[in-house]
Amino acid sequence: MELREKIPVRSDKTASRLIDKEAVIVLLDKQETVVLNEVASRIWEIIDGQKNIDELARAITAEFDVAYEKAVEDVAGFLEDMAQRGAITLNKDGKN
Amino acid sequence: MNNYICLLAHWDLTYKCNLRCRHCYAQGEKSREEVSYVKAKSIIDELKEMGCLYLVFSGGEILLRADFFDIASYARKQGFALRLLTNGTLIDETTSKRIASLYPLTVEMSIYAADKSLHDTITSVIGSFDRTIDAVALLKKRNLRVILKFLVMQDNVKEFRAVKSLAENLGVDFLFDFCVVTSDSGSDTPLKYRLNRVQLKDFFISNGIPLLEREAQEEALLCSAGLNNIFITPYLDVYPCIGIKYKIGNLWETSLRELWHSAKLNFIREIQTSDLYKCAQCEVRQFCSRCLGIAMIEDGDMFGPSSFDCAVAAVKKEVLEPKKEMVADEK
Repeated sequence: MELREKIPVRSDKTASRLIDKEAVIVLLDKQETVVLNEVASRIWEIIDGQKNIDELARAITAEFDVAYEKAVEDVAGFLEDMAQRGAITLNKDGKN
Repeated sequence: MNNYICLLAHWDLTYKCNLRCRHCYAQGEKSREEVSYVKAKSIIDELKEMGCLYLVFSGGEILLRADFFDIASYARKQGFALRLLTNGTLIDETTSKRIASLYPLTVEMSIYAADKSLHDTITSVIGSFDRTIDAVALLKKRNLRVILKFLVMQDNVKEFRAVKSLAENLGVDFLFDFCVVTSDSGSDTPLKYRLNRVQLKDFFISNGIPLLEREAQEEALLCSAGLNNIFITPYLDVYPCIGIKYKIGNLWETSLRELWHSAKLNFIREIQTSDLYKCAQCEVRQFCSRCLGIAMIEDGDMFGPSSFDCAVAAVKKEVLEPKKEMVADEK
């Protein structure tokens, strides 16, 4: 499966809030807090367990001044980092 | 409108309790009704809208609420991080599993002694120690972060090291406090359990308690009450914090958003050091952790000195200054 077809799903073990356009994410089992920049926060906000990386990248392209291929690269990189932290899972079918 | 965000709400969900701790400040009012599940959900929604991220659920004993897990689960679904304060005595295998499903940041329980009969005397319930310790084990098994909290009082101060060791042996975090406070009913009966100056000094020295001396900055005399947090009672009275009995309003009558931006809460936020007519010039202010609430309740004036905090600061100075002189001599 292509990377851009994968669907991120937020982990149950997170708590988060958007404050002044920055997402504050508490990783509950690790007792860690992550604060995202504006673009990453928007990606986090629109993760709904349905949209795949391609769709997220298109949404970011529409909202920010970034080309589609760069958006895919950035979205995928961000999501892989978040998956490593345990904040999301990246699945082919959006199931945890 | 101010720019302060209410990041944390400390919410006492009930004042019903199955223990009768002698020093307890929490007092229920029989004539008042505690918050319903439906109303709790609407307040949780409003807290979420306001940007609140952390909820501290306490009491009383939260697990005495039949709808506690309904409230807590709803809060989790709305993306809150939870801290749970409980006496632990009602936690069995099933309850520990339900607690684990909430992924709480912490589960915090009080232990008053490593000597179980002393602990049970303080809680006035025989068997409470064993049940709390059993709860610790159950929660640890589920990889939850447990904190044991020790309130230092006259009759358990000698248990400090033993309780600290107990926490270490159980593999949990340990916190302590020596600030026994008056009852919510206004009674100062709990204060008889507070350490006096001599006992406090001995407690600091004999246990090697690390003490902080801040820069003598005037801002250090002010706390963060009402800046990023709020306190809510089971009757939905709202206060700047659990210690400041200056009521901002009630959530049956006014929205939380209105109370957050109210003149009453701004009054607390806008307190300046210059308003603290004696403390701003005090010679021990760098040792002082002044509490507006204690000054208000015990000395009748939130802008005046808190005799308790004055005593603690004086003791800290007595403990720290000889050490500073020794270091200076060595140099």
